Amino acid sequence: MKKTARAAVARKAPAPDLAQMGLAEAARAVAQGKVTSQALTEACLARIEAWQPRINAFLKLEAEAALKAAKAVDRARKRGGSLGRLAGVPLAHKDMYYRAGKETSCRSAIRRHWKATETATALQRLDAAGALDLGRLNMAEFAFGPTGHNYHYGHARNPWNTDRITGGSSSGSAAAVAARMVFGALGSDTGGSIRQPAHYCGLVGMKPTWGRVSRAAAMPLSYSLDTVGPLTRRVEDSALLMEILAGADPRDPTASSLPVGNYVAAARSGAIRGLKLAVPRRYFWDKLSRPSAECLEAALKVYAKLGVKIVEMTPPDMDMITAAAMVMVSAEAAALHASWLRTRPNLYSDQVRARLENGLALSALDYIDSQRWRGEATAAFLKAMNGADAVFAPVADRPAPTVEETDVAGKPEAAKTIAALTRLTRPINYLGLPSMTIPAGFVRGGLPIGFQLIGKPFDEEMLYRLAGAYEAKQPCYQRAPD
Amino acid sequence: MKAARKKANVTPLTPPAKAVPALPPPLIAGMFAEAGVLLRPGRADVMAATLGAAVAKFRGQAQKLPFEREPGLFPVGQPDVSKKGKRP
Repeated sequence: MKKTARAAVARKAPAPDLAQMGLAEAARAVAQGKVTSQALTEACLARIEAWQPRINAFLKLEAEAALKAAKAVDRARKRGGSLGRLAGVPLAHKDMYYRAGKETSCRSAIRRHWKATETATALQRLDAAGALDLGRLNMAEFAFGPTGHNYHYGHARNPWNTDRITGGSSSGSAAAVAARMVFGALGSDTGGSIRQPAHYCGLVGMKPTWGRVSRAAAMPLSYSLDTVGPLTRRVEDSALLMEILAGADPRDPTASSLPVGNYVAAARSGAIRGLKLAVPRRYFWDKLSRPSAECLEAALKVYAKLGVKIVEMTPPDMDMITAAAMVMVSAEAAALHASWLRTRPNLYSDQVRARLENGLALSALDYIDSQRWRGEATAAFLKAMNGADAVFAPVADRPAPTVEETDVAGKPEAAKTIAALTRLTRPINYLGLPSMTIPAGFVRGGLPIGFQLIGKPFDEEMLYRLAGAYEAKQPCYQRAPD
Repeated sequence: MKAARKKANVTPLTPPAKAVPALPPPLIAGMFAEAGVLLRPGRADVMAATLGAAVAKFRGQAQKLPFEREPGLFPVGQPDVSKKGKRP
């Protein structure tokens, strides 16, 4: 009788929600046979069923194919076959990474039923590591919008408060990872599109050094500024994905052949005593809301307690860098879209069309000068760091604003709103430096706040060291949206 | 002013031009016509005000670029990793 009662209790006890695990933790659990890939996938599918109507993160779900792939991983493990580092872990990606034979709309009306003929290098590398692909995620039209609004397919919404924006352009990636629908997702960052959604949704978002990760067969927006990177809930997860994604690629001549760092080891090391963090209060703190400032000061205190030396820095003219970045992105995006602007302008949403048109008014001189000044601006920023190991800065001036207040579409105030949302991230793309959002904590109302660590060229390893040590003290990932 | 000119070894051939908007609306209209893209009513004025401000700001900086400066991102083309940045 006693045994029967115990069995009944065991049956009634809720099963642990596998979708809450970290990506690296899930990968280890599959590899060690502690959990099956099928169980992980079913847990994610259950989360998708519950959350998709509220946050509109997915455009296309490929549940059957993913379950089939998950069962294949489980069979391979039982047979003792060799498994990749991400074997059986469900991911999903921004709908701008091409997969041969699959529709890739870039969340636009123009490419609504367009089928890719090749597969992005980033996807190939994740596939080779054994990751599962659950489907295509929402994003801003052609990755050209910082709010998460999409007037063709519906806006993505923030899982922490569905009246709030996710940020963009990697809106679906951030929403899906924060809502525990998947363990990680690819985003892209041309002016803040990974770091800013990560800030608004309480995630780790890595914008690598320009050239660190191949962009082959990923939708281009601005050749000189585009970067590919992951959104995850934990630092170690991001480090693992970056070790797989980074490195030279014959398909992308801009992908660097410099050796890839030991990011996972760095994230776990905790060895940050004696390092130096530079804090650029001028410009970066100018418009910071009070709750955000308090949260960031608390984060700095954590670093100080960990033995990191906090020093002030005076950055170069960031407004000028932003202006140069604006010239660069406008010219390159307009060149890419000129043909469609001539023939199908009405298929763009008002905001995207207006932003793309900007580039048509620029001269070749302006564009070339934006390229010529770039190295000088980067050198000036690195010099201002004055030997610091990284820069600590806010990602945005405040927590996620509402969907309604940022619904500017093609209105005259759109340019101002967009500029305000990206003023702290866009200049870093122009400088080409690696930058990573780390969740700092939560403010009143339960909205997450992040900070960004900006590193030296190709020094992602340092960012992972600093981020991993902070997370060990402030494990924000333990809190999930409900 | 004279001293600055002497130092820079520059002799202006014409008096400094009167300040003009960085992107005057007629110029924008011409650029759109050249690209074969429809310019919607009122757009040139909006662009002149918003993008024009960024361009004007940047041109001020661009004028200071040395003649020999070539495009390029990282100053030395190599990673600048400090000693402390070595693997943990």
